[in-house]
Amino acid sequence: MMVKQRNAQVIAILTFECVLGPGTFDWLPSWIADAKTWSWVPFLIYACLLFILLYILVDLVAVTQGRSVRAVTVFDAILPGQIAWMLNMLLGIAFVLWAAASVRSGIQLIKYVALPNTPMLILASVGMLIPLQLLRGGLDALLRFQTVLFWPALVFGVGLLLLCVRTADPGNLLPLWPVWWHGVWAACQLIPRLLPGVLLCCAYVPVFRWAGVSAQALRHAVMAGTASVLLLQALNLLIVLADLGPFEGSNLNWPIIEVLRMQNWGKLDVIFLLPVLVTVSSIVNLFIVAACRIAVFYCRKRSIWVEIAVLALVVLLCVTPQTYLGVMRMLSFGLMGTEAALLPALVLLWSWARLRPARWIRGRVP
Amino acid sequence: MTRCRAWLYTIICFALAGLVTGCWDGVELQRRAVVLMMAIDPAPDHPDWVVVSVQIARPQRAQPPSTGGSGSTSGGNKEDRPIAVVSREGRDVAEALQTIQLAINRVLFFGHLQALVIHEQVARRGLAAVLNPVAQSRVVRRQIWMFVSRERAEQVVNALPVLDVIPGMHFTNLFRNQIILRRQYDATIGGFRQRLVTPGVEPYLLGIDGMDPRLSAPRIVGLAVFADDRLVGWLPGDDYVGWALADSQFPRLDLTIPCPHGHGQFVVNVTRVRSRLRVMNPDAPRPKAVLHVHVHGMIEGGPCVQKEREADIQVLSRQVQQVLAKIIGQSIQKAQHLGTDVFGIGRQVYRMHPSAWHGDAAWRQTFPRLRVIVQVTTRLDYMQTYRQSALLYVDHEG
Repeated sequence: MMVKQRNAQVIAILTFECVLGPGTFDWLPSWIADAKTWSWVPFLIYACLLFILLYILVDLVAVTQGRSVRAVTVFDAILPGQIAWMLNMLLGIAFVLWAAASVRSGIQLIKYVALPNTPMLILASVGMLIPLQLLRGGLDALLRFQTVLFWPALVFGVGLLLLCVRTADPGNLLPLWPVWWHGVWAACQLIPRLLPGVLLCCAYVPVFRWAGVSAQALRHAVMAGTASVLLLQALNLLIVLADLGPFEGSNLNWPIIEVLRMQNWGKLDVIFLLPVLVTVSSIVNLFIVAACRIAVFYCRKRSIWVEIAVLALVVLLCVTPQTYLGVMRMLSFGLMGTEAALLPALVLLWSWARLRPARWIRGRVP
Repeated sequence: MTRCRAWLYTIICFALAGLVTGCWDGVELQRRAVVLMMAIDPAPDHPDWVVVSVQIARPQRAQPPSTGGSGSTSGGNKEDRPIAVVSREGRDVAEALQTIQLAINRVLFFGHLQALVIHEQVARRGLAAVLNPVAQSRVVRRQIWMFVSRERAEQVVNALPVLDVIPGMHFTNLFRNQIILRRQYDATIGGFRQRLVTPGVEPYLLGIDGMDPRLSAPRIVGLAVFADDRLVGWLPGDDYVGWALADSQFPRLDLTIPCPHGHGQFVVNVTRVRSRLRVMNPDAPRPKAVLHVHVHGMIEGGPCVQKEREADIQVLSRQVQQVLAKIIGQSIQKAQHLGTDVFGIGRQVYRMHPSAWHGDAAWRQTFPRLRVIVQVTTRLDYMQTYRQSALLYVDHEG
């Protein structure tokens, strides 16, 4: 597959967007509620796990070079038909569920900050306009869209966050060393909620390898993207803890929005929606395009109908449950289930490949 | 077929785009009743009820304050006033606001709410339930100023301060100009809630003691201090100054200090205050805390500063240190007597000695027994117009 946008910056940006997710940070209050000022401990564990999983993925993808591979994810580039089909189906389901969860999270934030009365169906439908056009344009169109808004959104978002340092109280970060460890371990149980980006990378990172990017360049770009997103997540966590403290920060639904409101400089919270919605749009595009690619690969139907079905399913999953909590509860069950199968499968596949290096590559020659 | 598809997509995009023009959330200004301030008083007829008064803006009547007259515009012709005040009572704030909404022909809008004034009696009952509807509203800003009033809170929202066109701006300017506090956030609804849930520190609000008739503005007298969400007392006057110095909240204002020898006072313009607190032996029956306050300031005149001499700075500095240490010590003792740790000494225990922290209930028993040693250091210099001011002070007796 020929991809024109196959440089290190694009790979790093794509990795960044995959790992960041919707960027609404709706996991922050639960995280801080458990771990308080010791949130850095589960965060470090999460960072290490993320690096390890992405390293494993890049390592797996690296060995698929040199063969004509007709595959859509890393699984069917390596495994035989039935097993790869099963894992790709799970991946497709996970992508649809995560897309719906991301759309719903973005809608909830829009309603809270600016538009409480606009119907959810309208917001969700408008959210599908961009992926609808990108699906027609192909992978290059997707990559161009993902990269063109990235830098302005990132600089703007980080700039607004750094403004919040003026109301920070460093004393709110104390005590630094954990005294009660049960909260820390409770926060560690939330780590899987931050890992769907790894599954998304299973669908996109191999594309660059098959387009001719070297293994080393791929590894460096993925690691750079991962390090950058971890810095951004750490900045958000630090700002919330320093400005609001662990107790108030864990009580709020959208602590970052409240930190911006503390600055008392006009409608910073509404302005902050700009970079956040760019992030939500980016991740929804990535999830939907990846799900459609898997569906089209196996269905062998006219792709337009498959794409419309996927989009309709995402909207349906997003708006059908009555409450936001209901949506997240319904989706998290499916998400955790698919993640519980796919991440260990990735690790097992890598371990098995490491033990049997000569025979493990199974590319499908057309 | 491709052209048909392109037309189909175009029609879909336009149709969907036409549905999200903000029609659902747009509200014309004429349909809104913009609430600038809110007051909560106890209801006269029902012991647990409240009376909520909202001050609604009338933008078409807003004009610069008049230069003549008594300056008091709290009465006057109702038709000319830039505000309208509506009061209703209810079982709680939410019910009273609902009654107010039904009484007027516009939608109440709290997005520009500047201040919330609560009567002392309501504050003594507990503020958590009172504040809940306001705090939970997604529209209300976290930065609305909150006050406790000794007299009817309704008179604050009825007043038109002489110096400001928009009444709510009076409080906003008070804080923006750092007249009372350096860190303004603590006196807001967000700051109150944050201190309420943080272990080891009690919330506070600013206290109002009636109205100044000449300025038609509320008289702010110091702090109203809370234990949990219930008002327990006041820190007015010097007690407030002591707290502000101990909490590094003292604004860039003048302090008057009695002269070391003789009569009169000299002026110190405080430019910066830094305080540092250390708690020793937090597990002891009677823990000890050392509070070190460092004051930067400039001496700006007084009958005992008739000549700028370097040796005199030492004398004046010692006087400032003694006086401020006494004021801060008395303020802490008052807070201990009231049983409210507004200084955040317990918070320091939680932060620096978390294993010795046993919860707010235990700290409320320990705090009154705490020994606090106050150390004040100063860095003063002269900043006066005259280097010799003896001729400015005429000795009438000599």
